[in-house]
Amino acid sequence: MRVLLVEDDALVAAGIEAGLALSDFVVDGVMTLAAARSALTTMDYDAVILDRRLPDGDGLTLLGQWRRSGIATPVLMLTARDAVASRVEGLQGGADDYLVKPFDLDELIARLQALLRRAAGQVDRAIHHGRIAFDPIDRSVTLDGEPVVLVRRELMLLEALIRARGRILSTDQLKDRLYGIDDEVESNALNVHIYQLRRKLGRDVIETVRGVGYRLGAANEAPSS
Amino acid sequence: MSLRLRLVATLGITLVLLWGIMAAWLMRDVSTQIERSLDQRLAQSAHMVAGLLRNVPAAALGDSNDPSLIPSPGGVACRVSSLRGQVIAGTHPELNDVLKADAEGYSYRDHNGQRWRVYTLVDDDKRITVADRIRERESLLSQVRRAAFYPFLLALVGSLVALWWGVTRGLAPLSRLQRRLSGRDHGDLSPLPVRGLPSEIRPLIDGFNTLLGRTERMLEMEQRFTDDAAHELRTPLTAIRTHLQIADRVEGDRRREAMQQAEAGVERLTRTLDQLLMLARMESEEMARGKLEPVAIKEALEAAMNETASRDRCRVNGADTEWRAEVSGALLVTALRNLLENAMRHGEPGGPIDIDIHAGVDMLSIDIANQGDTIPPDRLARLSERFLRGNHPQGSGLGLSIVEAIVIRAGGRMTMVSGNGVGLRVTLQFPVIKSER
Repeated sequence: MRVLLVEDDALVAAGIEAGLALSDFVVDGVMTLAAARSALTTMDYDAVILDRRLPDGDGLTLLGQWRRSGIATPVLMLTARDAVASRVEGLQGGADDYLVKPFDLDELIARLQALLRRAAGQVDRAIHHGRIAFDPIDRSVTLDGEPVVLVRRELMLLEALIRARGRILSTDQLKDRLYGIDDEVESNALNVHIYQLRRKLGRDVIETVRGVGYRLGAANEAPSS
Repeated sequence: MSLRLRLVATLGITLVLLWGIMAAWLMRDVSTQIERSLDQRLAQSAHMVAGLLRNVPAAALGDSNDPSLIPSPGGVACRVSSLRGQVIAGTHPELNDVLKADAEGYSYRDHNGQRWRVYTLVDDDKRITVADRIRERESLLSQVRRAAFYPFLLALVGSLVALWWGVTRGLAPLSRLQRRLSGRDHGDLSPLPVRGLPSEIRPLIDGFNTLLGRTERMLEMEQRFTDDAAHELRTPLTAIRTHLQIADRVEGDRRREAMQQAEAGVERLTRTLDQLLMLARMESEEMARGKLEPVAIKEALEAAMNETASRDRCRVNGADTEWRAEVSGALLVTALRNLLENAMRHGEPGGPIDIDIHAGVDMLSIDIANQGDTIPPDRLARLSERFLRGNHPQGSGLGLSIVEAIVIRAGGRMTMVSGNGVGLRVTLQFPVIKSER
């Protein structure tokens, strides 16, 4: 999952980035409203963590602009102001959730997960697809109830495909969800992960759409031979 | 006591008293006037009788033993007699007691419990006496009084009602104001409307509105300070907490790195707290008044330059004497250090910092100027506000606030200018210590 972090304090930003990376989030950090604006136009993010007080203005202003122009990306607001009025203002301004500094890292991650789950219209904690169940919080996958061991990037790939709900994702889109800007990516790395996922969860788990990209395979109830 | 009641009572009592005195006066005048004109009529009737008698031969008046009786209405009596007392003619023989007046002129006589006004005229050899019953006179007077009383009462009640209405109407703007004030929300600090208010109340409301405005601005500043303080304290706390939680989950180099980051957060928090406390202490005057150990400006400047490692960039003029300012040495070093830090942070990178020290008659000025872009006037004016921080992540935004607090506590002044290649020139003025050299 790729998250845009808009936070002007370098120390806090570094902490959040490192913390989210531990839960397999890919985080892009920016420090100003202007940078956040351009980041969201060039990249497709699953969620935004937005600080309110930024050097070039209030995060709420930018959020308002996004919401008016129809950008529905889930936004979690960060603020140092704990007054009820200020939280209400944030939520009414288009924020999906609101967290007051200093927050617990686990709470931030749990709230982000909840945001993503709600954005996908899903109630249960685990996401089911045919025989596969994926728990985004435990980072665990089961096939017919049996745990399957996946490495980090394989999990991230599976999560991206599951959350896309059958939409086709291009190779670039998949890479965006798996790797940060600074990560060195080998050209065939994605193919390796796709191969591994098919090997562990069955051939049909990922469907190749030739010339376009990949999508989640049809949900098969019976084990494939 | 309400203003309306007081006004109505004062004016009403005055009105009733004035009307009463006036009525009493009028009544007395009317009584005297009626009395006098009735007396005149009495005298005139006596003269008329005398005139008539002069034209009548004495023999025609008949025998004095058989006085002629002239019929007459009840209220008035008349008698003609000789000077010796013999009655020649009369109206009421039973009233001889009353009409037996010898002296010429007016008098009162009582008869059968009734009082008469009597006038006696002596004409040649005859005495003419006329009398008027006082009761008739009194009933006439009371009729006059009654005729005057009802219009008077109506006018009095009417003016009291008009008074009440006028006062109520006159005080209506106050009642409206009161309703408007009591209907306001607790937090509503918006100014009261002054349109339509009478000119007596307007200055009051203007003053009130000014006060409201000041309160609102003060509350805004307090609110901003709280928000800013919350932000400045919570941000490093967030960093510390996050990095500590990460350190708990990772191993080796990454763990060490997270701990270092947390440490950096603690340092920043400490610095912000120190400066906040400094500011708070400054405001409680404890520091400025408690230990005043003035140092020479030169020494303070040296110390500040050492602490900020800015000696290479500083160009100092006029610091070669042993001037001392009336400010505690530790505070002066703090102020200079903050200014030097600012100059290094916000000035042209690597550019010189000009420091000028000169003494006036009783003020000592220290100029610290850095080169850089001109600061717009509106921002310049807000520069010493707390937590107003440039785009520099290191600053706490409290530096200039602290400098200003130090200077003001010491009885000095801080001025800031920007322009003509000077990014910011801060001038501190302190009172000079005269006794020492």
